[in-house]
Amino acid sequence: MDDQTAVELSVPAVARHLRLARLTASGFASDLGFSVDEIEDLRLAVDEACAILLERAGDGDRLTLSYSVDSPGVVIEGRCGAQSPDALVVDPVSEAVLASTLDQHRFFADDDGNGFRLVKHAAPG
Amino acid sequence: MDDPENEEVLSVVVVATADGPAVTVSGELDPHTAAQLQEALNEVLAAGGVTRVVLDLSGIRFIDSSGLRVLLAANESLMRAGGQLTLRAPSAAVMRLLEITDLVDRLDVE
Repeated sequence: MDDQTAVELSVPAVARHLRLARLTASGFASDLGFSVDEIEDLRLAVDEACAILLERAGDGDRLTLSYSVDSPGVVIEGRCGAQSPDALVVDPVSEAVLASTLDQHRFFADDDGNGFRLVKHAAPG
Repeated sequence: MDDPENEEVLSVVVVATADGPAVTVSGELDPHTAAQLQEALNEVLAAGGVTRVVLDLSGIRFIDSSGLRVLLAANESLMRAGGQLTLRAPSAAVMRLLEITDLVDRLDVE
């Protein structure tokens, strides 16, 4: 993982800031040479994953995102506080979106809240 | 919804036509703006006697599952009333989501 190119974003955990998460994903992936379709898929995936975390967020929580290069693709990790320690539930539609747009995705919950790790590879050539 | 930031990100325009309400939606549909579209569609459907709503989605730059749920809810409401929701000229973003979720053949898409 190349820390020199990593981008970090921290925003209040409210839906109005999902746009920033998407914009950052688009810009980051564009700089790495992803195709237009791949960028759009990544934008959608980041949005869906963040929205899942926001559903569990409480007042004052922040959503922190890290965008990094892990050739041949990108890794996006998200963290957010949660109101309760209950396990995350990903609805079937969101799961279908994430499975179709990413190469790997994983959600987790721990004492600090909830998080995810997304991986998308750029197509060769 | 009185929110200048929402008006910039999402635009919803409702026009009465001879064939029923035509709703033009432009911008980005996500958890922040989906409620704005939901509210507009609720008002359209509450008017009564509506059996067909045409939703022009050509200007949708982004849509996620929250936006999709609004469309599905409106479709179900209309179908219960014996009517139909038509998605007109869906943008590439809309079509991509419909393909991912295998809904292209389950909705009326023009």
